[in-house]
Amino acid sequence: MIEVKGLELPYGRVKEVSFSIAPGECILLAGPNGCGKTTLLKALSHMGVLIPSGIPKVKGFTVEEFIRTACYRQSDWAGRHSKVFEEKLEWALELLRIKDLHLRDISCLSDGEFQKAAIAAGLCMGGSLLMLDEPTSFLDVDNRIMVLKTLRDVAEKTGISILFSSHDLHDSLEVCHRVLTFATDGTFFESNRENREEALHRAFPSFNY
Amino acid sequence: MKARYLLWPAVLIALCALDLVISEGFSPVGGDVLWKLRVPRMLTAVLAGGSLALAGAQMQALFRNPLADPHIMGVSGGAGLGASIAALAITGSTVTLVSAAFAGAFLTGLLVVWISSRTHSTGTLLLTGVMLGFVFSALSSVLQYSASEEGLKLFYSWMAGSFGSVGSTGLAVMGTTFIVGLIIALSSSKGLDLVLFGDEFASLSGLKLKKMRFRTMLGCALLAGSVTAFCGPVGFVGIVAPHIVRRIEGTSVHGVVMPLSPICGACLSVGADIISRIGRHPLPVGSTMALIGIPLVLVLLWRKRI
Repeated sequence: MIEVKGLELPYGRVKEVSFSIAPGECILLAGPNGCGKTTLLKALSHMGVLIPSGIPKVKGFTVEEFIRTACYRQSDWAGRHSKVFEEKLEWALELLRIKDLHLRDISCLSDGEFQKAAIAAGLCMGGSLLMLDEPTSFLDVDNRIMVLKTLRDVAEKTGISILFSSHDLHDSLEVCHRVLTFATDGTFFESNRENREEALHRAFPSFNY
Repeated sequence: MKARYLLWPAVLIALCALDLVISEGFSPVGGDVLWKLRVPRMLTAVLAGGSLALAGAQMQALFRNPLADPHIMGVSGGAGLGASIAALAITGSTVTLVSAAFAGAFLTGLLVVWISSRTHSTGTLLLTGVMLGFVFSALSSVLQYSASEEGLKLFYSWMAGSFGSVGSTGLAVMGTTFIVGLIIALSSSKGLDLVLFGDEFASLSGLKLKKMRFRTMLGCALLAGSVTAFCGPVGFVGIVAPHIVRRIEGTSVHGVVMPLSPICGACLSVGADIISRIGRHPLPVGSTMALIGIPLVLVLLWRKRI
């Protein structure tokens, strides 16, 4: 169980944030542009792993090499990883069903596939909370739904808590267990499993459900 | 490690051997010429090419810019300024000029390192380096304007670049800086991999970005400073060599690129040295290098793989 109580944000319309996340929950963080979603995720980054948005697909790295590079803390000075890590990598690739892509250059992946590789990297980095900043931005419908379903899948299968921000409200609503929003009245709203739509409506008054 | 990587040192050794025997025609050379002229010259070329390529590979990753190389952070400009100050002081000795150039290059490097410790933005750092370079070359032009004829002669022969005039002390200095630079580069490899994916992702993944920048830039300043001081502003090896390695090996992972780049750079500079001596009149190696280097850069650019 992850609990955040009275966390103060440096700027944005919401000053103070409190919420809790149970293991295996997949949670959507929503709010208008510039409300402080990324700031909040960064403030929480020491509690788990944060995958930022817009990681470039650098040419000349295979999926495996990308994940090994991302797991900087786990490798020795020459960038070598332990046996235990390699097993974890296998597990992550299989969980995300990108095993057959592991030797592909990441610059040749679709954005959706690359997002899956980034999620795999996040899983390999360890921790019980995985945060993703806008994992669905710039994705087409199919890729978007694929990535979102993957997120829920991973949360339910591994018991890792997932917190992700997104502007694709309808698609995200389909997969997330609960919603956290920056409401228009300056409060931070934490929904339960039933009133997710209401939470979104508080942040986006024109949101229809 | 793949066995294929052994091809790189093999090519280098072949080129070095060719460099030792080639002259106008292939007339055999006596022991004295071989040991006192040819071998030091070849070693200089190897160390110069290796050092510049090592510096280039690190800077391209650090700045995430395919065209970054030691020149871009103003190190050559700083060396040029040092050299012109020496030329103006008219001591007429090469030693003064070389020391002044080294001091200029190294101080510029330190300046950039200092700036890098105060800024978070890689873009700002890159721009600062370029600006420093411009300022330094402007200053050295001003100085040359009032330099004596003798001083200018010395200055221009340094500017043209040469592998032939480095003595054993110079070789020892270059060798030492190369080894120190190599150790820094190899230990930064995995961090530089991470830097390619953006500063934000890198620091979230646990990289101490400022420390990393500081260490890498210090290494680059050492490498580029010593080469520029002894051989003049030899360009292009630093840019091109890492690209050739990435292209041929089909990977950007620095665990591979970092050890192979200096070998490739050494091949290029030894190759340039061979070409510069094929004709009847020996050509300045800096110019030969540029003439080989520019087409390579253009080909890389046009193929959009850079």
